[in-house]
Amino acid sequence: MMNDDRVFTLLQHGDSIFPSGSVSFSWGLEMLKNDNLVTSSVGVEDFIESQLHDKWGTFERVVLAHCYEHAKDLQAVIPADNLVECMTLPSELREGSKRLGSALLSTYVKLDNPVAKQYQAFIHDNKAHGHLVVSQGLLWHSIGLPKNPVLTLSAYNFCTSALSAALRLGLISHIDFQMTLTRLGKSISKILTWPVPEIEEIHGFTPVSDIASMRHEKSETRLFIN
Amino acid sequence: MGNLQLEFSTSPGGKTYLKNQYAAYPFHICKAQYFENDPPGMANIYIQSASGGIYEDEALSTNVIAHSSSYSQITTQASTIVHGMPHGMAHHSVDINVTNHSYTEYISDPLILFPESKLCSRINVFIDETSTAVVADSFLLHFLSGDGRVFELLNSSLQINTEDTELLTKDVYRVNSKNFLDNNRSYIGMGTLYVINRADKHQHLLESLQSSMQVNKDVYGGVSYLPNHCGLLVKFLVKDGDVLKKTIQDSWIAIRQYLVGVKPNIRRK
Repeated sequence: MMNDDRVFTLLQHGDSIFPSGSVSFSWGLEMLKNDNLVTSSVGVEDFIESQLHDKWGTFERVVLAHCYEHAKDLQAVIPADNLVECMTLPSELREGSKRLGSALLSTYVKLDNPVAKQYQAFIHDNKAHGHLVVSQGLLWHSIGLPKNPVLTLSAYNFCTSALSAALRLGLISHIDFQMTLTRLGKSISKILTWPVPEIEEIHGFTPVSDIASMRHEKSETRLFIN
Repeated sequence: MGNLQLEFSTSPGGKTYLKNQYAAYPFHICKAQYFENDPPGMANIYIQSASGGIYEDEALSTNVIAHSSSYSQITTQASTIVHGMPHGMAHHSVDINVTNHSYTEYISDPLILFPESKLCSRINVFIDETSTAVVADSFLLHFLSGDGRVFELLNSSLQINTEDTELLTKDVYRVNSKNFLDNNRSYIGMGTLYVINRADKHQHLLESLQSSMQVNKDVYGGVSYLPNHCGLLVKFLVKDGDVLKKTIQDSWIAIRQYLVGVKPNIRRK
């Protein structure tokens, strides 16, 4: 059980008002809508479910857990950051992940977080990339959150970010948002019971959204960065 | 364990030839062929299978070495059937080493995944800054009439490394019926081409291939830069096998024409 202080910390750092920079990301959803492949709340839920099962759970969760566990040795985290760079093939998703990670680090630097300052220095020296899940693992460890709430917070942030994009794209209503999020919460709970493999075992298979992100690079009508 | 080894080098006259070769069952190759509208002296090798596909518990490996400013293309004679495997699984690995101003294409026809098939496929490319490799990798699901069974698993890994084994790009996925097939069987195959070259951004090629994918209504596809400035990625989903083969062929022609400057002849198979 987390004590009240940690619950407060989790609420503060998971709040949508916390400046994480994810407001301008759709994770491929904008292009899927433009290509008429996602046209309803059911489609939005299928999209996020597939991202959770075949990317977040098999790839990002493992990197996040690894970085959390090695957070006291930043040099040991850099290979994981490099691996995320090598394995995020669509360039918009790759650049977006780094942009979000850097935005999160910048916020924590302004909050006078020493880990954020150290890792940001690695990025400035071209020794690290600062991908989102790497930054999340380091920063949320540094503020004293336990591992499972960190994993949950990362998945929750992804879901609310994608649902917010769906809301602004007119694919779902506010009520759809909450009902979908409730169902996704059950999926996240199941995924969190999966064993965490070695980081060398990470993989992902979300070809439709990957391709959508690749097509988005050439799209002339864009509300979102990816 | 089936094993194929090919080493390409260049004669003093500039013609690429097979300096070393070894083919053990089920692999079979004929002598190198030379075609019009290829780069001068480009050697073409067709890989044939004497067994009719990939079977349970098989471990197949291919090793390609291209150096000394050689030009080569390695392709398969036909699609490769991955047969049903009630108990075990099969492994197929390909290592491609391209160095010293060489150019090689590894354009395999699609893997046809039969019901209950389970395959682990691994491709490793090692390449220096002076060389180019074009790799095509694809799969297609096969459904037997009146049989509800489908393939079980495709574990796929493609790594691009420097000649010193530093990792540049890693594309790893695990496909099963749950994460690939929807109720409508919207897509039954996927094609991926990697244009690997560390010396140039190839922006015109990127834009040309992006446009091709946008207008091709038979596929859902996109094009992007690979990580670490090592080239381009083309990926597309298809609803049938003919479209898969045609899109790989059309993309290969566009890539070859851009990189070499001459439109190649379509390979007869």
